[in-house]
Amino acid sequence: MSSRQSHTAFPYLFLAPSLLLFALFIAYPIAQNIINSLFRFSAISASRDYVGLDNFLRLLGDDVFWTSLLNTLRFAGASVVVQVGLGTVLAAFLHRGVTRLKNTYRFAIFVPMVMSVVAVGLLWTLIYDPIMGLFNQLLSFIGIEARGWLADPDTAIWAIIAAACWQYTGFTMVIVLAGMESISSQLYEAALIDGAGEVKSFFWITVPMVRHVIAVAVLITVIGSFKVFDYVWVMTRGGPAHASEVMTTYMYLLAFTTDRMGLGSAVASYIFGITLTITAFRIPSLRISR
Amino acid sequence: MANVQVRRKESPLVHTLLVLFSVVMFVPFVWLLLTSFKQSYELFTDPWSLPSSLNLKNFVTAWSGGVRGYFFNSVIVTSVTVAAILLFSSMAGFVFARRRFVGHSLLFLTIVSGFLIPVQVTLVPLYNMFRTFGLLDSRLGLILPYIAYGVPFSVLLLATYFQSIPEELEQAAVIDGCSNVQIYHKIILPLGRPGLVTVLIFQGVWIWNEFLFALVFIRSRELMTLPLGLMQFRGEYIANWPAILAAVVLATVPLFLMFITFQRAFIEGLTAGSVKE
Repeated sequence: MSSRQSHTAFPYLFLAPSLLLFALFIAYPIAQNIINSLFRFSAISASRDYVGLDNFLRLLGDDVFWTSLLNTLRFAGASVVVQVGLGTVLAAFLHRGVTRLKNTYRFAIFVPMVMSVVAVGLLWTLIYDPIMGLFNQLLSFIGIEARGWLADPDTAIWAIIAAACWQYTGFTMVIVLAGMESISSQLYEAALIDGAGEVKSFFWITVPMVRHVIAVAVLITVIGSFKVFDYVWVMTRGGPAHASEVMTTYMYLLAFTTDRMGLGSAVASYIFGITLTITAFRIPSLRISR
Repeated sequence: MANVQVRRKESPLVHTLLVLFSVVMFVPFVWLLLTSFKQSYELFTDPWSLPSSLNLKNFVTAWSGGVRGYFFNSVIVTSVTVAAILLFSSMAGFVFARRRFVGHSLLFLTIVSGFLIPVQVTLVPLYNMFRTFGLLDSRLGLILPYIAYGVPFSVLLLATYFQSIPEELEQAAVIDGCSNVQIYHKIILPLGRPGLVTVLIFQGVWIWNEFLFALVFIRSRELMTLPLGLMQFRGEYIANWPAILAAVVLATVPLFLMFITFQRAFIEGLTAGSVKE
């Protein structure tokens, strides 16, 4: 291409603000966090003891840490099934099943995305309320007894996940739909001539053609689950008795509520390690040709 | 062939399912709106009823109970941050898309990798850093990391977008004696507008709704942005759910109105992360 090789400082000048911000607020803190994980320290005292890998090992013997990891995995698993699974089916409905009202449906299903997670969390806290809540009222119509879904250790995390699915299913649907719309309609016509119905077409044409988009959606959803904080913080604060704790809320609890910053940093390092491993699959696609 | 196509395109069964699903998705919104007009006792007696009157009492309570200040802070923080992100990431996007220089690929990968980092990983170090430099509990201490975390993904989007601008325009400008800065200012920015709008929406929504940094870095009520302010408000008005939901409505209305007005740009902006692969 004819783009000119710059021998001046110009490109670096234009990159300087971005690089500086990256170095100061992203690269340095990541390195510092790994170092912090090796110390026992707090915000209120000046003492700082090197403890090696003790924080990491201590967490492995900590039941709450395992609960938080398990809940994070539940979040990821259920979100993939509902947000990506249901999102894909809804996308296929919009893609092949309807033309009229298509934008209206897309709007209605996507609209929760514009709320903040805190707003969604507050709304759903009231929806789950045993006395005033919409959810128990609905259940009472079909004879299911009212209960405090967020107060029950067995249901709290699932109730939170359901709220997240309400907000994010439309998001996945739109992503997958964008992929489906690039499929040539001739494929469907050919399948129709061969006598394939819509269900067969879905499994034999649609899904294989958008498998890369679905893979991206799964990755985004899984990584997103490791970052989830607001939903849990707003709806239960990880309770009752840590039953709905996720990794990020446990990290916050250790570092900022109980002021064991070394331990909190170690949880953050685990989060970093896991998400880095998962995203490593994705990095090759981040390239710009020049 | 054509009529087969038309027949298959409108399935009554699919319409029914989609209507049902859309209703399920929309019910919480309707309920949110209804409840925000109610009085507390109405919520206890019959959660399903319409509010007895359309009075704005809850909204007044919410607005004067702190939401006005939180709203103002969110407007300031969001607009300053988004402006800075647009400036820095369009500068970087321009040179990545249009210039060759030593370290091009490495620097691009480095900056862009920032958007894969979960913010939680940097929370404790940033907290300690801001404490040392007196940036805790200040607007600047919130805006700086917001910019830093907004830039990487915006650079990726804009570099990709700017590449699609025809290079001939730039060559003509060079012949006319335009400097690098003039090319950026007179060609890249105007022609790159759709890309800039996507970044604006994506980052604007993210910052308007961001909670974790605000929770950790901001202490005083006077500096709280809306998500943090909503939690503060809830703490102060524990049992007054209609007022809390009125606050939720007030925090959501600006984005909701913008979404309705610019639906296509909004959906593109919010899903940009995944489609641009």
